[in-house]
Amino acid sequence: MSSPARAAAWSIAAHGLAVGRSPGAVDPATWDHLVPLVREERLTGLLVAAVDDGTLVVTPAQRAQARDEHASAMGHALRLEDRLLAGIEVLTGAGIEHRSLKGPSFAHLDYPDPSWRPFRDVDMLVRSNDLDGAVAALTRTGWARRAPRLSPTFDRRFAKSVTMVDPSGLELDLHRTLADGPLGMRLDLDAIWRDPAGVQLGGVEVQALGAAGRCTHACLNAVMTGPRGCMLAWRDVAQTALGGLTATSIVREAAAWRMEAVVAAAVVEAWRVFGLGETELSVWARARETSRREARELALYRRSGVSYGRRALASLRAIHGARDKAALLYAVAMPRHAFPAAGPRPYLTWWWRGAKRAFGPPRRRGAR
Amino acid sequence: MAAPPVYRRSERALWRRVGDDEVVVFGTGQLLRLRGTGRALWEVLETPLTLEAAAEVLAGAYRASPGVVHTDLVAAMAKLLEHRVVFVVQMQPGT
Repeated sequence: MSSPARAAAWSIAAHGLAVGRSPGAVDPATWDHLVPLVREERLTGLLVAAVDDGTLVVTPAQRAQARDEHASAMGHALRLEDRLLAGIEVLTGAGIEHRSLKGPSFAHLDYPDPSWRPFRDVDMLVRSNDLDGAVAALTRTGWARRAPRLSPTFDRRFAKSVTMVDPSGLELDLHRTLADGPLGMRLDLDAIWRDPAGVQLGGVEVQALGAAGRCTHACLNAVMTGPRGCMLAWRDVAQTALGGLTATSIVREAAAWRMEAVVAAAVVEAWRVFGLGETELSVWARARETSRREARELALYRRSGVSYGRRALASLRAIHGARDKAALLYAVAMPRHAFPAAGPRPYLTWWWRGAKRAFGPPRRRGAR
Repeated sequence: MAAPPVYRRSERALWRRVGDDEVVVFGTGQLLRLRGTGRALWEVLETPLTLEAAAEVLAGAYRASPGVVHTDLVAAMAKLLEHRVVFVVQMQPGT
């Protein structure tokens, strides 16, 4: 990917943050690289906003192309919101408490216009003990699990989320926690439910995380995207942190979630990539000392080439009790519920794929 | 004389702006891209209105003749009603 296109994309990602970064005019060769990059990075809303207010100077044909890209992204977002509402209806009917996460929440609650924040899937949070019931309720209405559960208790004890797919192929991620690996195990799962925010969507009052919670989640998501992470994930950090919250409220929420190191790291990086001026929050973030354990765990997400095996092992360290550690290892090694009545062959395939994932590089994560 | 109907957006309809001259609306399983008159009508229906009232608002905003605007709005409204993203709220009480 050409550097001028990536530089222009970062400028677009910073649109509206008042940092004085303007891509100005983009030459045709750079534009041809920029458009697919903006599409991949989910920056079409910010691109169109920059075009409309003259920050980015384009030709009429380029303007039309930007509009078409964004209309496509918005059409997808609307279909996903429709599925989100369908999922909410099912869970509400089953008496299962839930929260809407990430994309739709950020779009409606944190950005000046929801069209600035596209998303590719929808995520909902349920309590660990409700996860199996939520999966069952959605299954009864035509949704299906993307992957089988590994053991009867795996999902509610160890899984980050369960991905459900509706008949049209749209995905809904049902979360019990907000990160994989050791960060997901350390997260205070009671704290993340406190102080929800409501948003009207399609005539329904949708519950989301509170403002400080969304900021903390944005930081966690950005840190998990890794060293060459998604631009929109970093924009979410800046957008939520600069959206009217006090530094004190953000730091307090981070502490309640046990994610202070994550928030500090995310703020330092977001301020760096966008060239933001110092604020009370960024001063705190730079000054905060990271413990050796925190640095070790953050490195698992921030360093490229870290294998899933190392991250999984670090999860074991974050789990208390030998019995739970053994249960996790056994469920991953012998997923009997995934292969209910089979001989050794599916297990051999499972172990081979697991080894490839364990010792291969992580797939690139991004803001969803 | 029968009172003109009052129209409103469907609560269930989901929508987004695409730049400053287009909106996409998702109603009953279908996606609509609205530009020009359709977009303007959708925006002005943030408040329930009769077609005549909508025409007056838009005629003022675009410095056009209310009669001409009204004619354009009839077709646009028919499309919104067809896709069930707009409904008739009530008939205004007769005078």
